[in-house]
Amino acid sequence: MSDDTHRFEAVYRATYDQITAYAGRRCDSPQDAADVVAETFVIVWRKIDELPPGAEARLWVYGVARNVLADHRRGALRRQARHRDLDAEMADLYGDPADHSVERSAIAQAFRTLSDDDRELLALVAWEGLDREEIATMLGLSRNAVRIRLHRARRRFSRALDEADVRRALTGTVAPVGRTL
Amino acid sequence: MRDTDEIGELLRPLARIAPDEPGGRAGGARARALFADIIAQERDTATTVPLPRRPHGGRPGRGRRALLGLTASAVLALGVVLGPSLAGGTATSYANSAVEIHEEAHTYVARIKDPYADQREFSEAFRALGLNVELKVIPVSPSAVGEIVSMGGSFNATSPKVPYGVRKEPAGCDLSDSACFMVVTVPAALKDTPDVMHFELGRPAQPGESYENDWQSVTRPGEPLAGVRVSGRTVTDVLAEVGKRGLAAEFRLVVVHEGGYTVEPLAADEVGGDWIVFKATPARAGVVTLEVTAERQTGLQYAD
Repeated sequence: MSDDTHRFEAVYRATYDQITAYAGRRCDSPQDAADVVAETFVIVWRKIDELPPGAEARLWVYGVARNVLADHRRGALRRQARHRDLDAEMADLYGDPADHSVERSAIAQAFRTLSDDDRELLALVAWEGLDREEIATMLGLSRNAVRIRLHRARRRFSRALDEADVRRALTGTVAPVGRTL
Repeated sequence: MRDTDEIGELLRPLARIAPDEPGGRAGGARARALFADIIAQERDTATTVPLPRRPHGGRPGRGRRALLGLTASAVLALGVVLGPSLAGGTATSYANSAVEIHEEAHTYVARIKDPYADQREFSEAFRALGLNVELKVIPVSPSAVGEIVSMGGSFNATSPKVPYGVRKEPAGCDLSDSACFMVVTVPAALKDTPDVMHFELGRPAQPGESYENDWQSVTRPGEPLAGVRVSGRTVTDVLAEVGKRGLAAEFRLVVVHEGGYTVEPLAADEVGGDWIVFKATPARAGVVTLEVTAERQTGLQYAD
C-alpha cells in the first residue's frame, strides 16, 4: 500500500467509531448517518494530503464531518447507494429507542429551540467530550471566540430550560437510565 | 445559569449513541467494506474534486427492480453448494438463481445468470465460498455495457497483482441477447482472507431506465456526444450539439463546496442560454444531463 493509503487507514481506524457516533447523534435516520460517514471519509481520502499530524487529525476529520452534515441538511448530499451495509450498522445503533421520561423530553425540547450553532457547541462538549481548545481547532476559531460562544449557548440553553421548567432535572431524577455515562 | 458540568449531565442522556459508546467498529466487516470502497476511488489532489454522484430523487425503474429482487430472494433463497463440505471451507462451487461460481485454475469464475438479481444474491454466493466479493450490476450508457464500471478492494493478504476481470460468454456476444452472459473472474487467493473486492458491472439499460454511471462523461468514445467539447461552453452552444444528434437535454445545477461539488435538480426554464456547462453525463437513452452553473466557477476544473 502507498503512504497515502497507510495514512488514510490510520486515520480511518482511529476515527471511524467517533465519526459514526457523531453522525448517529445528529442524523434523524440511520441512512442519513451512513451517508454522512461515507461522504466524510471519501473527502478525508481525497484530501489526505491536508491531514494535519498528530492529535489534530481527529479534530480535522470532525470538521469535515461537520461540513458534510451541513451539506446534508441543505439536502445537497447524494445517496450513497453502495453502502447498504453501513446503513445496517447504523440501523442497529438506532434500534435502541431513547428513554422518554417527561423530564428528558422537556430537556430535548429546550435543546431543540436552540440554533444549530448553539446545539453543536454544547453537543461537542457533552457528547464528543471535546474541550474548548479542541473545538477551536476543529472549527477554526480562536479559543476566546469559542469561550464566548459556549458561554452564550449555555446561557440560552439555561433560559430555555427555565422556560420549560426543568429545574427538577438537576435533582437527579433525570439521571440516565440504562446507559452508562 | 447552569455550569458546563450540569449542562453535560442534562445533555448526555439525549445522545442517541451515548458518549463513550463507539458508533461502530473500525475493524468490523462493514467498516472494512467502506474502507475498501473509498480507497478504490480515484484521488485527485486538485482543489476541487468531482465526487462520484448519484442522481437525486426517484430513479425510474428502481421500484420495479427492488420488487423483482424481493421475489427472487423469497422464492429462490436456497443456493446450492457443491463440494465436500462448506464448514471445512473446501466448497469449490456454488449456484443460486443469480450467479453460478466455480473454481478454475487459481481463479473463481462467476457467471452472471440474472443481471437483474438483487445484489445480495451475488454476495451470498461469493460468501458461501469464502470470498469477500461485492458485486453489483447496474444499468449503464452504451460505452460501459459489459465493462467493470468501478472496481476496488483492499488486498492485505493477497498480492495487489491479483488476476481479475470481466468477459462476455460467448466471446463478443451482445449483452442485450439473453444467451449472452457476463463472466467475472476473481483470484482464488482471496478465499478465506479478510480481503475485499468490489465490482460494479454495467448491463444494458431497459427502455426508459436511468443510467447509473451518471458520473461518467457522454463525450467518451461510444457515447452520443463522443469527441464533442462541452466543458466551459455555453448552454446555447452545447444544446446545438445535442440537438444536432437528436438528443434531449436535462439540467443539473452544480454547487461547489469544500471538497468537491454536488448537483441539484434544475428545471430547464431556470437555465439561461449563457450559463456555462461543466460536464455532460448520460441520463438515459436519448437524454443527456448538462451540469451547469450560471457563471464560470473558479473552483471547477473545466476540460476546455
